[in-house]
Amino acid sequence: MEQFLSSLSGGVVVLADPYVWVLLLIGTMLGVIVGALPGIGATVAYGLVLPFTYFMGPVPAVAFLLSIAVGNQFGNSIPAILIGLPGSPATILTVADGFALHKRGETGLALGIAYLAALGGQAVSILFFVALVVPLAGLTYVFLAPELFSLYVLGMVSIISLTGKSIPKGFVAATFGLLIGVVGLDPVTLSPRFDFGTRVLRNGLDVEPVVIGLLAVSELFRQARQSFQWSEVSGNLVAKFPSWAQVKRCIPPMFIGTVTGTFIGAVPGAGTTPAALISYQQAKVISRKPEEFGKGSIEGIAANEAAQNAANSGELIPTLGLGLPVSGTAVLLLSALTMQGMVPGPSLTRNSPELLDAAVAGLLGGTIILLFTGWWLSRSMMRVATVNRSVVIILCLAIVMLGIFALERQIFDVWVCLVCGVIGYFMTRYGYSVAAAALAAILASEFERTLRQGLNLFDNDIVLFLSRPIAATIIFASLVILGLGILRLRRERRLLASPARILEE
Amino acid sequence: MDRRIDLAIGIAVFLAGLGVLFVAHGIRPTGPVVDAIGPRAFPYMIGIFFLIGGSWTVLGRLRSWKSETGNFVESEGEPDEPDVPASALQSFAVIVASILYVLAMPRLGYPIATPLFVIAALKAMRMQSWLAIIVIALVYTAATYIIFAHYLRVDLPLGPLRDLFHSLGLSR
Repeated sequence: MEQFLSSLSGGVVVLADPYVWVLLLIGTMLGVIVGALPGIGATVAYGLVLPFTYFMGPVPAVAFLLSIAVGNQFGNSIPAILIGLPGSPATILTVADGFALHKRGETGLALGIAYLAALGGQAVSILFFVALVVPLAGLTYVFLAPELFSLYVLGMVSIISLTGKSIPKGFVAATFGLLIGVVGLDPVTLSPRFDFGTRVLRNGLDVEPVVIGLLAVSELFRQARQSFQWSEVSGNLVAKFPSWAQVKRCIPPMFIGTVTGTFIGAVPGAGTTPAALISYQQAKVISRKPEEFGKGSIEGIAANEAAQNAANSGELIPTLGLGLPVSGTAVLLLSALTMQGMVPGPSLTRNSPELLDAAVAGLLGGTIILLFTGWWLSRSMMRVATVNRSVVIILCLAIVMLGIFALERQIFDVWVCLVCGVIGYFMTRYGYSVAAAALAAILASEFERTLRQGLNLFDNDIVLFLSRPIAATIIFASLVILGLGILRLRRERRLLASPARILEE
Repeated sequence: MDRRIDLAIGIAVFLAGLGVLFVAHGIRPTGPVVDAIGPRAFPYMIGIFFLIGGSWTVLGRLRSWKSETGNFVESEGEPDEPDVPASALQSFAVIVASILYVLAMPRLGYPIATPLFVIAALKAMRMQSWLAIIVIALVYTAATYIIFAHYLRVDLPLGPLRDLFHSLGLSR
């Protein structure tokens, strides 16, 4: 309890710094704007700003990045309601209900409920986040090399089962990430590997250009395949805020969405989309008007939006508690921390407890800023959706390349970023998870080091190494998650192919 | 997705596996520290995973080759926006513009290479208005130069404009 309160108060202390508030204001608004641009998600936003975080300290950087995520989840719902375009797969059911309300002239109701659900889901999930991450971080004292190695296996297996539509291709993608990670001096004997006698490869490839290339640049190249404008906003915008009676009706589904979103977001191998879909189904079960779901249900919007925002906090639990990111944005967050000299792994929060304070500050501050600006932003964002899409894509690409150059002032890094972007483009198009590759590239060195040093400690006996209780449990959990991932992919394919089917079910 | 490209990627992964195994074979331990599996084990494992993954993709694709009609099959990757034509060539044009930009930056400098890149890339994206393109390119270049060179103190390459910028007090 003491640690719980200490983390919460630590976050409030971080918020005492006006500089942090300026960053949070920029981050939240940027998140809303980027979220309102269909298809340009939080991953691209993180890729854009990641080089800038190099110039901040780790605490402001984490708070800033998380405020982007807070704004982004809410921003995603705006085009879903106003244009009928899902900003991300998780908002597909917001389209069903929100766009239906917009077409009936009840735009204010849809936007208002989405706004309140985003705020409620985000605010309450911060408490769950702190309550879960603090004990998890405390466990890390018992982790030795075998447990650490098992955790890295768990992280990679989770992200393989989370992203992409083919598990074997996910493994190939993760292997590609490992290959990038082993370039340079090996972590135990310092033997040069894959440097082909060149000085520039001797110390290995920097993680940031690789990760940004794989996650953000590849996405921009993919977006460049199509030239079109995001549709004009249709219908009249009647921005009337929902009544108290309407809000009261949405409190139970918001609560369901918040709890489901936090827990499912925290489970490696799950993510925002299943969290939103499951919350929606649960809200329908308890609703007095289930027949409205899919035709303009405010309860449906409330559950869906609360779940998406709560999943933000949920994703942070394994990311900061164990150093294991479970999504593309979480990988970039971890990359920002490695840029600040931190080593990913379960000791992340133990060695740098201020990261928890920063996370609380980012989520809490972002929510407060959203509270004061969100309603106004949601009405203003209809203009953002009419911005020229081609200009957004090209300028994002130019800023990313400039940002990468700014990190170390090396053109070579921009080349690495570009090459990874091109490879990532083909990976994205053909079902190889770029998130898995990026995570493997970050973890590769520690993954290998813990295995080799651990084997040395256990007389080179792999059975002894992996049969330690915690290590064996984590390896078993990895296998379970892999199995669940396969089942999830099958189910998600079915559900996303036909949203109407969920409504019927 | 085009199953022929999917097949080609599978073959490329397989060949990459062979390449990794070949290079891994040449890795020699250096220094006094010795461990059981040595510096070659991980690269060997990577090579073998590539071989297995590539074979899996190739065999899977070949197994369903006859039962599929046409070369375009259900996508396993991120789909394009529905009802909007997509062009791989357009994307490649942007990639080529990006490559030329990185090649040109050290030679022409940031203030010249950047507007050229923005103009080329926006034309590749089929934006029509030349005036709008040029204004966007110049405003973007000026704004980012001020932010990065002055506020973030990043030494951006200036190419032939170095002396001019220096004399005008625009560079450090």
